[in-house]
Amino acid sequence: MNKNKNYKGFKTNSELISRKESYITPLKDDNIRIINLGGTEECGKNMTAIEWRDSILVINAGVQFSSSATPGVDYVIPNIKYLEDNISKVKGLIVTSSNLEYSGSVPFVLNMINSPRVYGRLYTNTLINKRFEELRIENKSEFVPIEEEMSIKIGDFDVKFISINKMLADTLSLEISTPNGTIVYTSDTKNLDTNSLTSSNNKLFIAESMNIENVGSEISYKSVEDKLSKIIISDTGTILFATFANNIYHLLKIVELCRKANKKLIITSNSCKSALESAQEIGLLGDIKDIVIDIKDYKNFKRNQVVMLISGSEGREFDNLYKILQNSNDYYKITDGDHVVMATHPIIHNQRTAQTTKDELSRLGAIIHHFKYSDILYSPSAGHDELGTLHAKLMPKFFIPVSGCHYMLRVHSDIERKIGAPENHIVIPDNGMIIELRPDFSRITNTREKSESEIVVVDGNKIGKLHNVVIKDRETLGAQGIFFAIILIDMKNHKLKKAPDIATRGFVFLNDSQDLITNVKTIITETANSYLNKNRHIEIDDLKADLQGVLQKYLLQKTAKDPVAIPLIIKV
Amino acid sequence: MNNKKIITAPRAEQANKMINHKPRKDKKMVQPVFESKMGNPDETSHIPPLKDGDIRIIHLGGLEEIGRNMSLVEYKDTIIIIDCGIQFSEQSTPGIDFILPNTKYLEERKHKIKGMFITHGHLDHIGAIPYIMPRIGNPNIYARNFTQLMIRKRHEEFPYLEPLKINIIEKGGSVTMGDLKVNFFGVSHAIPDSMGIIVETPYGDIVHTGDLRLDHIDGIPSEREIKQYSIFDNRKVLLLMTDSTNCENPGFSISDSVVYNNIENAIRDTPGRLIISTFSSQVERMLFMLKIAEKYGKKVVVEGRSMKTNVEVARLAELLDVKPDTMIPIESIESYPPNKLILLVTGAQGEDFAALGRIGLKNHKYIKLSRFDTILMSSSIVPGNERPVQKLKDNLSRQGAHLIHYRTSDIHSSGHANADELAWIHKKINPKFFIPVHGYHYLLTVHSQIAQNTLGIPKENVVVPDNGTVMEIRENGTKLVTLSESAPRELLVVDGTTVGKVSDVILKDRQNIGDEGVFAVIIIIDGASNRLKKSPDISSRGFIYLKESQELLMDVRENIKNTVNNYLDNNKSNNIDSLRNEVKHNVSNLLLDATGKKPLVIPIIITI
Repeated sequence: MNKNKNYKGFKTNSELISRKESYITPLKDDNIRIINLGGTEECGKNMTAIEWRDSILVINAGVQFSSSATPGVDYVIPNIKYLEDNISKVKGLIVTSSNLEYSGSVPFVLNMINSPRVYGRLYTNTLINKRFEELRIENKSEFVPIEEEMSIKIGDFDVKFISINKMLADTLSLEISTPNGTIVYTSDTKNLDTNSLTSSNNKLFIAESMNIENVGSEISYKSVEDKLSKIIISDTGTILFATFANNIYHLLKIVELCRKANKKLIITSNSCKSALESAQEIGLLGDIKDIVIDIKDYKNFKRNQVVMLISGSEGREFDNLYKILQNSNDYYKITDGDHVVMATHPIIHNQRTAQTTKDELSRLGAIIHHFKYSDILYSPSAGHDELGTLHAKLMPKFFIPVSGCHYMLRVHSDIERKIGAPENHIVIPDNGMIIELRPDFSRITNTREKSESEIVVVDGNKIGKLHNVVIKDRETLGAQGIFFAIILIDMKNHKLKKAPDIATRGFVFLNDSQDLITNVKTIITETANSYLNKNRHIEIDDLKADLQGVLQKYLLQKTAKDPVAIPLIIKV
Repeated sequence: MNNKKIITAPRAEQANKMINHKPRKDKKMVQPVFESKMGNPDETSHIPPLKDGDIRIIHLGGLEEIGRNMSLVEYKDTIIIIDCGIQFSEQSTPGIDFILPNTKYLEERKHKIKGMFITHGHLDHIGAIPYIMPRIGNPNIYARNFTQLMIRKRHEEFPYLEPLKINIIEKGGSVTMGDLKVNFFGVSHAIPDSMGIIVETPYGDIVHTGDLRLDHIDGIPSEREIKQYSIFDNRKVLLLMTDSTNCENPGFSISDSVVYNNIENAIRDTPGRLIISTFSSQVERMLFMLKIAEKYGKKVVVEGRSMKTNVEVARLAELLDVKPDTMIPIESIESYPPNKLILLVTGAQGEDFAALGRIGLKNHKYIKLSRFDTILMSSSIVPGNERPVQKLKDNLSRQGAHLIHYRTSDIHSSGHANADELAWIHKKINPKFFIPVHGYHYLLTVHSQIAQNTLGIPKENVVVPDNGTVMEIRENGTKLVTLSESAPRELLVVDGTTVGKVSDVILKDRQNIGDEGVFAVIIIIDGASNRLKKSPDISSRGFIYLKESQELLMDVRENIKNTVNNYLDNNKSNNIDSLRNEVKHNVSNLLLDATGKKPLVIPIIITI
């Protein structure tokens, strides 16, 4: 979120979200319903709802980072219409990772679903609470910390939290038991301990697919530590970490390695600050006053004795780097021999942006360490081969792949097929697809019904549907610019008051095109006059349509640009 | 704000799309009307004249980007040019069609230009010819056969231009022009007839390789390569300039033999219909696919304009070695069993309008997917296109088709050398000086390291230049010097029919309004009474959905009325500019507070 924006809280156009009545057959026959409200057609905005009897359990509420399809938008969030329509049934929200793709929309959606209890690791809960504060959204929910394997009744569900990993402070998996079988959900496929699962032949497995396209062996804790340590002990300059804000394991490791190498730490990144503060609040990290210094004191230390955490927020990791490049930082400038460590995800990040950053950094003499996510980031998402092993160990009866683009889910489902699962035991979901499981776990079906899945966005301080007109306009404006022609009509004399006024932005360079402007004015004047001569009574819309057609055609013909062309007719 | 993108294009693909698919196709028949008038008529007089006996080298493009490659070598009264390419637009140049090398330096030295050598037929090496030639006096072009056919094909799109003066040359040949003798040698790349250039000077050779890779098997270069590079055994190379595109990748690239083998297996073994997408610039691979398809008795459909064009050029060059009935028109695919069909299509970068994109969106006229189809994507993802390609893969696999993608199977290898291939080439050519070319700045620095590590070239003999950096070889070929003066380097762009320098203001505005929208307010002041004539009119686009925001509009009108009336009451001077700024400031703040968005506010003040 852009900190410069002066937020006064968020406005939800809830009327908009739930205006359309959509009929979906009520749940019956004691079936179990599984609906993915996000995260199955994209990387991000993960949300899975599980409904049984009088309860709905929501798992995760993430954001998706905006892309070229949603210009200007801050985030895309899950469409929670189904939950709003069944709001009395919503009994709890479980957050399985602090990663924004799993937790980022909690502050936006929680109040819309009656502020149910939130279950998550202590670290995740603390971080989410901080996000509420940053966004100035009222937080009415109770947060339940899950720090060890435990079973909790949430509504009608018996939920067992499993695979509580001590190394990764923010991940958990869960198992939901019903009389005849269990549902296992995990966003931590790398560490899911299959031994802690209830033994049952009736298992539905729901698992993430983020790293499915990584082939070969995944990195270990040890190799991450080795790589980081090798960089941190280097003594040619200051070491900048421009990434990892979302990964508490890495942040803690960097702090630890700094201490070991006797280096000072400067934290300029708000996300990193907030992550480390959360870790401290819950006792995950001790006092770091001895090694953390303020950037103002940078000059008092030898430059090769300082490590800096400078990453921007997730999805925009390089924002702060740009600030440093543009020398807006008064206390530190990149110099020859400084190291910059960055990591990019093949789908989430625009590799072109990363390239530009690298160009600028190398101009300043920086030594660049650019990793692929999968080569440096200890991610809880297993790669292709590890997933193969996991599936073979688990041998679930049914399988639903989640967290990924459609193609990734398909590749994930191929793994399950390879170990012999029949075709009708696998469902590859779309957002909103209503999937039902028989109470005796005899069958899983796509009911062909669908809850609303239109895109919902956070745009400025408004949460609501994406208006295609607005987005289309932004696309055209961003490539072709805008052209206003202001036409004053003297109503008394039934003629143009004066020559039209022109205002353009982002179109063509006006000093170069005085002729064009003169001609446009002539054409508009002629068109308007001809209309006024023919019509005694002025229909603004008709005149406007005439002018728009002429204007658009002329501009395209002369410039081969197709700006948003707006004739503004004003009666005076 | 967020990562707004103009889809950056892969080499040939996008530009062909631009030429062929844009609704404004007709514009190509219209000569560009606006030539930018910005800048001084004489922008290169600050560069000292070249001293007799020194050699000057300038790269006008290709050193801070992938694309718009153009280099020049100047000696005594002779300038020779190497390549003349375009760069495709990207997020920093929204709405721009493409970017050209800035040729101001050449425009002011037309009389010295003796010829232009084109290393190969890709658009990042030939694409700017139609735009640049009229500016530099239409000099003679020298190119190998396939390359010159590509140039001619492209030139057909610009019928209003003077015909080109093209001279066909061949590898092993040489041309003497003015004070320089130029030789040519063959290199391996993705397109037939790729060549490198050797400029003979009194102090040794200047070698410009163009784009290249090595033909090799598991890291051992083939006999052909060894022979091609053996010409350097007896030459004294003064300066090497070579391709940096893939120098960040370690080792050797995947051998073509591996890629070809996997593609052959797919063509032979795929049970149903096989759809193959690749860069249309991968001409050699396309020709291979055609041949293999024929070998296994399959029929091939070529779909997508740029691919058809390139196959057509291959036919003209007599490189298309298949029977006439192997290639069938797309209308007839229904008459063949699916397992006999290979469809070669464009659009592997996720472009909505290319063939594969339309198949993905289910609006291709002849090709409908089913779960019996296999799609082989034999191309990498051009940086910046990650999301469009992901979307494409989703759209295709959603229709049940089986995807074979380069990331998981070795079915693509780039036409550019990896680090160890470059090291091998450096050793073979063994230059005294080195200048890395073709790539982003960071890639050039990485490549300069490779040169220093491989041959132990001292640091002072390597320059990592920018576009426009003027370098000279002085003192009888003993020193490589960088001048403090630089040739003009502002962006020269094609934007619609405008060819000229780009205005930063326009690009900034496009970026800004493309994210936040526009909000225009029209204020009419009655000059006689010095009062606001009527309530302000508002017109807004791309900002928020205004139908839901009537209340906000009322607030804005009220705000403007107050500002204007206040202003008119207190400032009799009627300084419109300061009123405009005040309105802009107040309205922007109000909108930011109310919506969290920062649209571009345009106050239009009209006095009547």
